[in-house]
Formats: sequence, C-alpha cells, structure tokens
Amino acid sequence: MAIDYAQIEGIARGLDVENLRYSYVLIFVAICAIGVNYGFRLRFSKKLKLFLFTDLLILVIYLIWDFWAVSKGSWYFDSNQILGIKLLGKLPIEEVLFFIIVPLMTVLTYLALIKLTSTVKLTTLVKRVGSDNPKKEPHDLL
Amino acid sequence: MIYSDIALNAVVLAVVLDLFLLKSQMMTRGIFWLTYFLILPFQLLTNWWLTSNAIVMYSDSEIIGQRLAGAPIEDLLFGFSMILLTLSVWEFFKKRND
Repeated sequence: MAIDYAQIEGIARGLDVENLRYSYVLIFVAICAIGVNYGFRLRFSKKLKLFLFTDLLILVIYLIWDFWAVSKGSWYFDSNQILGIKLLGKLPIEEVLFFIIVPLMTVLTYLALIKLTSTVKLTTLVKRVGSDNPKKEPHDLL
Repeated sequence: MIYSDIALNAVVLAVVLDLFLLKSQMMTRGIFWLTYFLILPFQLLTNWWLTSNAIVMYSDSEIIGQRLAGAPIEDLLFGFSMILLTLSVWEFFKKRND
C-alpha cells in the first residue's frame, strides 16, 4: 500500500491534543497489557508468532465488517477526535490498532487467569494436604 | 442487514467455529467465562468513553435503539464474538503448535 506522505505531513501539522481522544482508549489498554504481561510474568514475547496468526484472522474478519459498516454509514467518527490517518481513505488507523490491541489484551487476560487459577488450586491443595497430614513427610503424599 | 443482524451473525459464527469447526470448545470451559466477565466491564468503560464523547456515533436506522453505557446494545454481541473467536483461534493454533 502506498504511503501518502503529503497526507501524513498535513496531519502532523494540524494535529491537536483533541485528536488523541480515540487513541486514549488504545493507550489505556496497552498500559494494562504491559502491566499484566510483566505482573504475571507471562513472557508473551515468546508467544508472539502464535498471536500474529490468531490476530491475522481477527483482523481480516473484523476489518472487512468495519470497512463495510463505515462505507454504508452504520457508524462514523468525529474527525476532530481521531488522528486522521485512514486505511483505504475510510477506516481510521485507530480501528486497525483496536483490532490488534484488544485481542492482545484478551489473550493476556486469559493467560493471566490460567496462571492465577492454577496457582490458587495448587496453594489450596498444599494447604489442605498439609493440615490433613501434619506429621507426614512430603514423599509420603506422592 | 443492519448492525443488529451482523452482530447476531458474528456471535453465531463464533459459536459454530468454537464448538464444531475449530473444536476448541472454549464455551464449555469455566476459564473462558471468567475471562469474558473480567473483560466485559472494561468494554463498557471504553464504550462509554467513545460514545459519551461522540468520538464514535451510530446511525439510528442501523441499531434497535437500546443502549448500555452509552453504546448500542449490539456492541455486547460484537464484543462477545471477538473475545470468543480470539481465544478459540488461539487455542486452535496452540494445539497444533504443541
């Protein structure tokens, strides 16, 4: 896809802080994603390829839907509150980023909950075994 | 077809893919519903920001008119379909990767 530098330059010159109001949503979710990834030590960078395959399918389905809906006017955007860079001249770049960052956060939430619930189960098990068999050595329990 | 129809179709597509085609069957697992209901309030929060500030606006003829946290109720169907499809496809690829 050809990049319209004149368009980008024009956008950069006329950009106001108000143009970031849609982007705030993306920044908010991105901060949550980074926090969850490091907070739960999920090592998401090791699963990047898996995510790219997954998100490619999501992008295809939802961008076609979005593009079609915007074309027929189902929904529309306030040009003062978006950056103004548009895919195929129609779809705000924020929408494209939304379909990357939200599935990313979805997977991270899922992975964090798997880790959290398995840790909780393990802790409960250890506590229960510990209280039921106070005098037994760990190898007796295996 | 208005937004309501497509959103409903998206849920049906996601469910059929999850249960029968990809066979990830996320919908039968508690962890999926836990994930969904944790994300839901955040969806409502971002929906509220985008609609109450009129960043995104909807054509009246494309929605049934019922709104939740500022956004058309149809958005719940869209959100559910995307979360289900994302996790279902993720598990599908993960199974083949292991």
